[in-house]
Amino acid sequence: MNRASVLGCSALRVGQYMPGTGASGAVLEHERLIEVTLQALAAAEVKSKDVGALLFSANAPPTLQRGFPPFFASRIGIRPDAQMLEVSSMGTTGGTAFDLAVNEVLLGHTDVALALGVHFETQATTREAMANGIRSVGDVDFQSIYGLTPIAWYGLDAARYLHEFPDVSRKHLASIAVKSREFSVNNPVAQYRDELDLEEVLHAPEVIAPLGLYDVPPRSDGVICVVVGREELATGAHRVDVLGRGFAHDGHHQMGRLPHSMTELPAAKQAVERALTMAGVSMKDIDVHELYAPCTITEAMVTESLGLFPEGEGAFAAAEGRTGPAGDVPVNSSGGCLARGHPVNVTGLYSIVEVYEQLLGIAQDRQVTDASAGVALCELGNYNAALAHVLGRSDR
Amino acid sequence: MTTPDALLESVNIAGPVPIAARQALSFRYHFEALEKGRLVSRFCQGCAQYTFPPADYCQQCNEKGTQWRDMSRFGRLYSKTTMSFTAEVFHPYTPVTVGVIDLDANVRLLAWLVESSLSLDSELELVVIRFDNGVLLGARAR
Repeated sequence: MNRASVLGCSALRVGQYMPGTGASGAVLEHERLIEVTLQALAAAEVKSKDVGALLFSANAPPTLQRGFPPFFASRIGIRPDAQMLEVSSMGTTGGTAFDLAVNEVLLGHTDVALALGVHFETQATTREAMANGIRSVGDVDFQSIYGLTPIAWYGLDAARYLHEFPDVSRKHLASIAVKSREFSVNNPVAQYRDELDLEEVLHAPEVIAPLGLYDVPPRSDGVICVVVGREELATGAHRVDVLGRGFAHDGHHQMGRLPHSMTELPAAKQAVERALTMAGVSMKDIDVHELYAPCTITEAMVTESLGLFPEGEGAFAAAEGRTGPAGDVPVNSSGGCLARGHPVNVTGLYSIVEVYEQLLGIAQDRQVTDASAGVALCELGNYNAALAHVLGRSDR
Repeated sequence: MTTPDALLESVNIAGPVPIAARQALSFRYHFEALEKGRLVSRFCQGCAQYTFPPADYCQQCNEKGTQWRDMSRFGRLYSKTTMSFTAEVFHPYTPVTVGVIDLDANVRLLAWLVESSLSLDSELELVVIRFDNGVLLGARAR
């Protein structure tokens, strides 16, 4: 069977880049993406004339430029002959752009496809962000009317989790935020590169009961390009192949209409199982886990849902150092959404880049020992849907 | 015929309703009934299950022909969170505590908790929160 490989990539350090309205001397969204794309093509040793498909993660609502794909293609000088579109699927947006880029290669439409995007949101007013947010994460007539913001749903998860597992304290959850920084201090593309201690997390202002400022992600901008191509085009001693993918939706929109557990994430479990089956590997073969976890509580829940730890023990695992840099099950070695940052529409692509670097052994001081296979997982709306990719290293 | 369990008491909050749901043909009767202090949704006879939000087809078997039926106001608190920051239209009322409520009628829905100290799994009843120009569901201890 033919395979698609990640040929190269480039990402801007997650941070705040979005220019304010009327800013003078600003570097604009497409200009940032052109720079990153040219770096990615150079890293992949691919010419722009060989790119047949552009799969964009949709721009965030505050982005001024609309009709972004043809605009960008004309500005950078790429003439795709296979596909060009922007995809939008909430938290799975970045992963979906990657998924479709892989498809273009596997279907034989092109030899090289780019999964790329800009997520600029940091200059959006809180007013805009909240008004858009409540409409995205709930039925506008039956849920948004109560004012639940995206982050509030994770507050509901956390409250239930702490209730069901009374031995777990906020301190255990907080250790996930601390662990994330232990990784991100060594990640050049992380938004936060300084350490955080447990007391700081515990004494931070409450954002959404019972979660505090460091239990939730920062607002972030990100710019990224991943070059996907036929495996024969990979250069270098090692190659990173896309071995499997899996998707699942649990049938809910935030919460279901029937009573059910909110602390289990069946879509995450099913999506990863499907990706592993397609790849012909099992969870114990996975060395690198880049799991979409906007909040501390989410990382606890998703590690349990994937069977890495028993129910109610995901936060304990972080507190014991098991998911940290020296642990036996490193999780989110990039620093994850909490520390690398969470530019929502491209978060899934930043996860692909982290797995790629880990598998090539170029992750420097955050390198997971002997990493040969990894999973990148992203989700849509309180993990109602999930998209997973399994990547593996092969020697040329 | 009205079931006594479906009758809701009122809690008044001065000020405008933050967001009014649309008056869709399929579900406006739910909000009209709520204004009158009565909880209703559409019920699928075949599945013996309420639809929610109310729909003229069943979300389980996809058959048409669900009927409006009274729904008991009693249930349990599954989860809750308190928000100090949310969309601007809610600012006059923050902090607000939202509960995920599992009704005895086997329906999960959201409501504002009018008593924020309610603990999870506690028994509660839905009430109508009456604003100057509209209603929302609220919940308090049974």
